[in-house]
Parts: sequence; C-alpha cells; structure tokens
Amino acid sequence: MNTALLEPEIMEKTTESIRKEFEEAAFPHMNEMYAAALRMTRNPTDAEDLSAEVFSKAWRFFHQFERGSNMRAWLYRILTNSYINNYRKKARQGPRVDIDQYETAEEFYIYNKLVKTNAAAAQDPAQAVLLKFAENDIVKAMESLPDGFREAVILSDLQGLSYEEIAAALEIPIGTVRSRLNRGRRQLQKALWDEAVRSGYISQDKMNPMKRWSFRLFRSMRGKSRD
Amino acid sequence: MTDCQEAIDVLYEYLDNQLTDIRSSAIQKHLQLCRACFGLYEFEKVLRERIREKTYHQCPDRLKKRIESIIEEY
Repeated sequence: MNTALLEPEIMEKTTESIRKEFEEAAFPHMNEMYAAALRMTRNPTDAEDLSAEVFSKAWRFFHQFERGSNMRAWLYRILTNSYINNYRKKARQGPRVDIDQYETAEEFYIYNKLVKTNAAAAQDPAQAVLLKFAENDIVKAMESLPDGFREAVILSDLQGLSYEEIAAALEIPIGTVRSRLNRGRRQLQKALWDEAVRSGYISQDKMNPMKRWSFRLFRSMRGKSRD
Repeated sequence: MTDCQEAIDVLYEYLDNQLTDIRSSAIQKHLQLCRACFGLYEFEKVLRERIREKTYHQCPDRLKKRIESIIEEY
C-alpha cells in the first residue's frame, strides 16, 4: 500500500498502534535482556549499550518479526549476534585459558571433591561452601571458559534457555549446544573449585575430624540406593 | 526401575527440563528414593541458583528510559 495516500492522522494512528504492539511484546523482557547483556559483557556500560542496541534493532526490524512467534527468542538472537560481533573481544580480559587443561575435569567436580576430601567443617558441606561464593569468584571462574562455552553456559544455567533456544540464539546445532554445556560446566566447576581454594573457603586440613564422616557419605553415594 | 547410573547420566538434562515427562518423572521418583543421588542433585541445583542469584542485576531505570525514548523517536 502506498502510505503517502493515507491521511496523516491515520498514518500516525497506525504507527502508534504498531509501536504499542512492539512495546507490549518486547518491554517485559527488558530485565532479562539486561541481565544477559551484563553477564556476557561483564561491564555495566557495555551492558546498557548492548541492551539499547537490542531493542533498537528489534524495533527497526519489527516488520520482519513473525507475529505470534517467540519475541523472547528473537530478542536473544539479536542479543547474541550483537554481542559476538561487537563485544566478545572486549569482554575477554583475562588470558586465554587452554581448553585442554580442563578437558579431564570430571563431571560434578565440586561435589565429588567435597565428598572425597574433608573439605567443609559443616553438617552439610555442600551448602556451606556454596554460600561462600561471591559474585567476583563466579565471574572469574566464568571468565576462564572459552567464548563459545561461556556463552552456552550463560544462556543455559544463568538465563534458563532450553537447548533448542540456545541453538537458535547462537545459530549452532543442538548437539553442539550439548557438548559445549557438558565441557563448559566441567570447566566452570573446576575453576570455581580453584577459586574456592584460593579464597580459603575450603580447608584442606587432613586431620579434620569430618574426614571419616565424608568418606562414609562418599561410600554411600556410590551405593545403589539408600544407605 | 531407574538405577543410580541412569539418573546421574541425565541429571543435567533433568535440571535443564529437557527430558520427556515420562523420563522426568522416573528420575524424580528415583531421587525421592535414593539419598545419594538426591544429595548430588540438590547440590547441583543449589550451585546453579547461587551462581544465578549472585550474577543477577536488574535493568537500571535510566536504561529503561533510554530504550523507551529510542522507540518513541524512531
């Protein structure tokens, strides 16, 4: 339709209703997008710029958005694209970590470590150590992940996306999502453990009286059912 | 009957809500019966919550206003 033929008031009304439609669909995701942007960029200023870019692009390309499809997934796709193109390099501050260093880290690394050693002097070693983790420890541990793994783990563990949604956002096959999560989580746990040891959250005292108790717990864990 | 190995193998998929309803309720049942697996499950769940909660920040008001004005102007 030739919009020039429309009366100005009608044009205005149409734009207004599209704007309203966009705002109603997109604005409820503002908190979530900002949280994701901050977790990815690790910098509040960049996170604000990236979020603004996401909504600006979404609005500009709103005519391409298929009505009735998933606005949240669409916003994530714009976010990850913009992040990878414009912020990824900058977001990496620490030295690149050799992936192979962590490849052998076993699954459930922290839990197994806690159960095998006499780590925490509390009734429940698991909870006790976890409660000590501060934001900085977590951010540092996340930083040690290779980019692709880090992004997958952020989208899954922190943003709660399904494998399918992550695959769509990062434009990778679901099998790749699974393997990145698998390796990324192992590495994250190994790095968190190292942070916990460095920060002194975990006492490695061999004479700790909790040792026997921990061993018993470990043995029971390996059993087939209740102890 | 689901055994421990089976439950541990799909523990993350269970946590990620990626299992079918039937599979998921089989795992849930196993976790109710098996203390060892439940301990691991709960640890992983709490770890994830902790990481999520510690790294969450709400969208600042100035950013909300900035986005609103971008949409208004264009």
